[in-house]
Amino acid sequence: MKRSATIFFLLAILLSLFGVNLFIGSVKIPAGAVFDILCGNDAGRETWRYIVLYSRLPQVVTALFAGAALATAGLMLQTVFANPLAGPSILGIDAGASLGVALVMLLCGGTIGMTDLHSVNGYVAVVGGAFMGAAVVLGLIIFFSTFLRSNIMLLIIGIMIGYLSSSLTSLLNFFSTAEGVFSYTVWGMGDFAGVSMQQLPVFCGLLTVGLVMAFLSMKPLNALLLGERYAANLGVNVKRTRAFLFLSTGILTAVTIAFCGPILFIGLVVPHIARLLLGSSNHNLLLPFTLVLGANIAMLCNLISVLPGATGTIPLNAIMPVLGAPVIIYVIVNQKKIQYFH
Amino acid sequence: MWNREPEEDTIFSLKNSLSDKRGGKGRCGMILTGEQLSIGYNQGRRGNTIVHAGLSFALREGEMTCLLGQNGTGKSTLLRTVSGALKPLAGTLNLYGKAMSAYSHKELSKLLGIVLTDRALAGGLTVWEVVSLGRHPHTGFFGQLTDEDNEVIQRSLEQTGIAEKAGQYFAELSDGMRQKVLIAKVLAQECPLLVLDEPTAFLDVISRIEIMNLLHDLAVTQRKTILLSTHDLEQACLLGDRLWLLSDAHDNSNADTNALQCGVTEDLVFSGAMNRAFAKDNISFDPLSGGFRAQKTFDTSKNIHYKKVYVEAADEVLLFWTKNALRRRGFEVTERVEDVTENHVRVKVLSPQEIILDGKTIKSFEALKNVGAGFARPM
Repeated sequence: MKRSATIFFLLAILLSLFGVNLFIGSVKIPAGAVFDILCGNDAGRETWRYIVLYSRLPQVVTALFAGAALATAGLMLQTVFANPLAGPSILGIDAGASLGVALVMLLCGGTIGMTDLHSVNGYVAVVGGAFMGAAVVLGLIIFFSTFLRSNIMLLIIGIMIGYLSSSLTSLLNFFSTAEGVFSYTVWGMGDFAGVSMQQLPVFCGLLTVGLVMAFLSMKPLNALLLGERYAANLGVNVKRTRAFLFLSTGILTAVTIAFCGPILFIGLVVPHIARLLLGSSNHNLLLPFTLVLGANIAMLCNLISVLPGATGTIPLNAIMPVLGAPVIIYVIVNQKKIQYFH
Repeated sequence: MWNREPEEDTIFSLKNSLSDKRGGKGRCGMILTGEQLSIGYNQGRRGNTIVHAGLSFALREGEMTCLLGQNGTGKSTLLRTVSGALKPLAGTLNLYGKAMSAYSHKELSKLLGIVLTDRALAGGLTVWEVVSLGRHPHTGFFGQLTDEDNEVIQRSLEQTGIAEKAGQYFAELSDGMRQKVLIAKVLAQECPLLVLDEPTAFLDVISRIEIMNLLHDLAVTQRKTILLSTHDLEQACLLGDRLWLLSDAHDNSNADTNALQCGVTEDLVFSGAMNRAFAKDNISFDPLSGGFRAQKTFDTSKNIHYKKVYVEAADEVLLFWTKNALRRRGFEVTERVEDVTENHVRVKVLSPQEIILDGKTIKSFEALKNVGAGFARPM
């Protein structure tokens, strides 16, 4: 069957991208040495072992989870808002999270930054800030959605909230210290390298909670494809389901944004690519498919970001729009032909 | 040709009334009843906005009831209240003898299915998948379909005549087909009561008739209780076992009557309820065609002599269409010979090609139209 072949293919890519990300990085390490290190053998140099196990491995795992989380969050938002252009970045959720992070980082004058977070308090504060910011924006959007029936209006509200939090963030930048601005700017570029081996379990654990919540919502998500009133008639408690989905999206986006910076586009673009490849909007297939595809694309971006080698890494936010924008334009131009819009 | 086997319908209603007399409550009992119901919106601190008050009605098993009313009379509010999406502001609303509000979401989803005009994002699902959504109230946490569920889905597809479309995308279908898919969905839900909000809106004439026929068949063969709102008065009169006529609550002319008049179609037609609910200035119900028509009142005071026409025709079809042609041009038409005065022009129609007008023979309705124009000229 065509669909199972696509899924198999995607999983194969997942494994190979994971592997390639371990073998290629800013520092050149011979493939044999990487293999030895991964098998637990002595590869000669201690620095290589450190780079592979404490830099590359957490980075690729972070990319995998972050991509999966953002793509899944984007899919849920698109279904809940019945709008193909909904996504964490469009709805201003990431701007809200950024504001939260900015408040924490800039008001503390640079003593807290993701670059040197060895104190648990530090990153709890940043993650907390991002989560609060994302939650406030989602809360506002839920509030407006109770009386704004039109989803287009809701999207515009989301964009406005996004502008508002961006302007507040600029204001905070203006009044902050140089160190604060620096660590905030570095965070804002987006990077999968920000999660250390010690933080990794917390990062993955939180995202797993969010992803499990998404998987538990597959049935109501399918019912919501018909619209809220049909879903209610099919026995779905729409208010509770909405709240549950927003909580799940909130966890997924806030945690990812807190640790990796505001990574644009994955949440908006990946569900579209997934629907086009799969040819279905049935969440039983689409949700796992989107998740794996998100992980793949994030790992691909991570790979591209380290390609310059010794000169440094390209910020993720410089890569993703290049991959993402053409897809969105393609979808908009061809929307008559693409069935899930009708 | 508009009559869909009227004999059968009569026999069916007859059976109903017979079993009524026998006390056959199980066969045509009341499924849903509303008494002294106030409907509208609860707006929290700002109080309630009452759209209608004191409505009483009942839905009976195996009957198709059509809700008719002009835009803005509160049809949607009534349907949303009846389907449990909106709480009544006062009065009692019972489903199977138990208050609607006492049912949980889950219980209600197995008793009452809805079809709406909402546009869905379901275009990327196949017809089979959309219909399978109707099984949601019956399936487990992840919505896995059992063999039995698959059988019900297949049966629903066959009953609506779309089994061969099962593999197609919902987005690829015409509006009429989509409506059938949504009806199949509601059948898969296996609810005894179906509520449909304007199922024939946006459809062409043939699809409209098809959908109404399908729904009526379901009421008869599956013993479904169906309530639908529509603007298609003609089909509603032909196929609706019962009509609910909803008129504007704030309209003074209806102050003495109930805003919602319920009854078997023919009873309402003969009681003049149609005109009470809808008539406006020069538009009134024409019991002969089962539709509304405007009285043409052109100012032709100068040639008052020629305003009146007496028509004789070889058969009823010819009579109907001749009257139609003349009335459209503002003539007062009579077919009763005792009404004829010296002012009447006499038209005798033997066949569409042989129309005798005051002794002269003309060859088509086209020509009749031209002669009609001659009447209107001042002489």
